[in-house]
Amino acid sequence: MEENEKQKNFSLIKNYSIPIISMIMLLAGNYIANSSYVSSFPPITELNPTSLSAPLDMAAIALGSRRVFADIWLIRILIYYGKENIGEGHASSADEVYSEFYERAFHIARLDPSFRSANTLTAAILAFNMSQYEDAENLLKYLLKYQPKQRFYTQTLLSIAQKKKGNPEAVLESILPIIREPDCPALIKNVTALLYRRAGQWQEAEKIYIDIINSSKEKDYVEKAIEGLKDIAAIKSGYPDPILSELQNL
Amino acid sequence: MGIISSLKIINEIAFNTFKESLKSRFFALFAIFAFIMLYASALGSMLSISHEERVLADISLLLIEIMCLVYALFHVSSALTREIQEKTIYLILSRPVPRHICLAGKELGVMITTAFIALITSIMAICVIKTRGLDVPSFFFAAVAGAFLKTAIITAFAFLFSFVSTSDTTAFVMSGLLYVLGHITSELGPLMEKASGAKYLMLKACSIIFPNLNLYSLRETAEAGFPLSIGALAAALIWIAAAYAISAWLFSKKEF
Repeated sequence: MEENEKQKNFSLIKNYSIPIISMIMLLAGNYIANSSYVSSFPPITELNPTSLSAPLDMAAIALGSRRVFADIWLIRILIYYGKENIGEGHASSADEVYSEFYERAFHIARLDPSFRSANTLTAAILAFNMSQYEDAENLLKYLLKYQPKQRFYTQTLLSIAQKKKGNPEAVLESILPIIREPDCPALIKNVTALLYRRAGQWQEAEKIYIDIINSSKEKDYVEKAIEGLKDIAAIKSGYPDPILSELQNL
Repeated sequence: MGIISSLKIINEIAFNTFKESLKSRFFALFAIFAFIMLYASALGSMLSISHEERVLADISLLLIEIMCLVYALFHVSSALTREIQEKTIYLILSRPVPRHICLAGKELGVMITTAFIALITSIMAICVIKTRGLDVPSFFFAAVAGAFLKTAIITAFAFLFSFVSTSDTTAFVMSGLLYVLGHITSELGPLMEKASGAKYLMLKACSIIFPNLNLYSLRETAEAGFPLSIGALAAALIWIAAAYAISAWLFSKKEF
């Protein structure tokens, strides 16, 4: 009787040995996989979705595609920023029109902190176009938590701190290390050119304007660079800088 | 049956499966649809102005992965379950071919087809990127390889699901869910820290059971300096082998 029971148990184990071993293999695979996995993205709990972003965030996580959805949010923020034709120097009205800009910019940062050109661009818009220094600094500090070695963020943070202190020479010094990078936003290059103009270093400003014309796809900044080159040509012929008063506010 | 003759049979079944998929009308339609989707992604990326290169590459890589996955899952249903339903499987099984060999051939055939789809869609994506005058990112091919590995894992599980589910649609949905859960698994850590009791146990079970597919999302991580690790590669092979072993066991028990 006992022998029969033993044989029954043995045949049961034999019959199910393949699925049992396979299940153990699956679990072992998971152990190996999880022990070698380090996420380069902020945890899901930091995403802080709004009613506007929740469906897209869910898709980003479900498809394992935070990068693509950060790209989509960049397109959305560019459309949002372009909805009103407010140029630099109208910071107070921009605050009202772009009330969601900071939150949207932060959302890109939360989705993909390694998207340096987009994150630097949004931080620079907040600081240099909207004069929202605190927001820009918060954004960059958050980014540096996940990308501590990212020069774009450290240098932009440094330049914002100098701008707050009203020290244009130091702003220039802190921006310089990143403007030669191919993905440096045209906005930052333009600010650098203006700072050079303020310092009277026309040749340096000229080089940056030429770089913007050759490399940027942003029509506004290409037009500004062409204008800038015309201004510098006029200055070299003895005329005063036409935007001198604007430059003094930098 | 010797190893060499088994490999020969697997090879024959695999290439036959591959050839059949190329002959189907669905393949041609799929290729046209893939090209339209990839070309449409170029229009979307143009909106990003100076970030076009990254945006176009990102969308293309996601589309390549989804297309490989969808085609592989459709193909799984026709590769075996439909053959079982239509009784054409007897043409193979009436010969001295063990069922696990037949299954291995079919799985390999679907994976070769998936690799072919990945190759074709990659060429299409590169053409679209080049027509826009942009550079193909350095991590592009690594990302496609990652997408293929991910699809291979899901394909192996899709075969398993096709044996335990009642219809092709159910197997398709289950495989799709596994794809989604595989991406969510790695995100569960922070949620577990905040959870307690049954909720914690459920999250913990999910993190143990479901494969972590984010390991193979090289389109997300390769640029930031996170290449495919040997551990991840080993895990993929283990998962594929385990899913195959269970499928073969279920197939051997199946009565026609």
